[in-house]
Amino acid sequence: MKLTPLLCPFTLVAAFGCAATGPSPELMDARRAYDGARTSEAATYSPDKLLSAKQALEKAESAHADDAGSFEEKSLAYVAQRKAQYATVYGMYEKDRRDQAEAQQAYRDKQDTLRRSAVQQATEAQKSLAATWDNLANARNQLAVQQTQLQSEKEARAKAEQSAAAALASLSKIAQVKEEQRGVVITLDGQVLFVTGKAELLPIARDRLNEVAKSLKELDDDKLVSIEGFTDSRGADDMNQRLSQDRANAVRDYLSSQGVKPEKLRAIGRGEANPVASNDTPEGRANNRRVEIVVQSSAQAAAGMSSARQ
Amino acid sequence: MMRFASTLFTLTVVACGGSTLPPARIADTQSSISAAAAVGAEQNPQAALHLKMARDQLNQAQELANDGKDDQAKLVLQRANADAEVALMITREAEASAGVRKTQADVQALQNRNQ
Repeated sequence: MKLTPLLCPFTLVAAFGCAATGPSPELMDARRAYDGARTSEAATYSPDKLLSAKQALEKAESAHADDAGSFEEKSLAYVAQRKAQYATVYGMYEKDRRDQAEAQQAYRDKQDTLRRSAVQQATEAQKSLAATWDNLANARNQLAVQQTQLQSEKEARAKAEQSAAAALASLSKIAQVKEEQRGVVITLDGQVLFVTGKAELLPIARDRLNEVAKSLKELDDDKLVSIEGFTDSRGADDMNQRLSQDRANAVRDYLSSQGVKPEKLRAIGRGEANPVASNDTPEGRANNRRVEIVVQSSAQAAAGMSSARQ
Repeated sequence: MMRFASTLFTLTVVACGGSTLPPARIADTQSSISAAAAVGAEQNPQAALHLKMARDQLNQAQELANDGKDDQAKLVLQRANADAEVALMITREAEASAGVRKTQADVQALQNRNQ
């Protein structure tokens, strides 16, 4: 006890020395770590860990106040630093988890969008394919119908051609029938048809022309009939021209009166042109006096018109 | 004499192995270290450093306890525990962060595929 007065000043010095000792490096680290943690994701995502770090720092601060530079201060400061670090990393971890959940949701959303889009595209492609199949089927049906029509038209045409040919051939009993490049030519003897020098039909001519009319009525609509009148070379040219035209007209009018469509008929006076025999003999002249009924197809008629224009 | 011997034995036990450091706290720290190791802390350099510090300090705490320095041993044990927890969390965070980057890259890849 005698030492007490002596010890007191030392104790006071020691106490002041301790109080004057600044925070340990561990405590400085702990404070910095806690400040860092407070401004990190920990404030948002791990407030409980931040609180735990704060409490640890308070213990370290308290240990510093009690016994600055002590092992306890340093240890508690070390622990406080680690708890602040833990809180910071925990905050990052929690944020990672939320980011992960968001990213996974975004991934699922994106997948859904892609899947929906793929399904939609597939559906549209299917529809389009189905429509194409339908169109194809329709086209096939139409083609089949057209082919059938074409076939029956072809058959009908062949039949008509046959009957027309047969009809024309039957005329060979009453007239000369020839197949030429300009069409089928039915040549009627002028003497049998007309009164000499006139365009008046004889009664027998009517009988023959009735047969001709019957055959012409059986022809297709597209066949044109040209009625061409010819004379021999006796007499004036202009008279012969007029006579041949009048005779062609008389035949046309009679055929028309017997039911042959007038729009198919064309009367042409050829006069003395295109003799088929010599005009020097009575027989030749008789042959030259004639009426030719030329049955031409529309194609031949068109070709004839075209060459006539040139 | 017997009484003296008995007292001496008790003192020896206290001094050598009779630490008051609760075994449960040591076990807790060991568990924390094992948990950090189990999630792969040794493969993460930063976590591995904390794991090593945790192990070293656990050993140090046991030595201090053996020396009868229980107060210091408890403090060092706290430090070991804190380091083990940091090691665990650093490892888990790194893994989670890599997971986020991977998923975000997957989302980007899906977006690019759609363009």
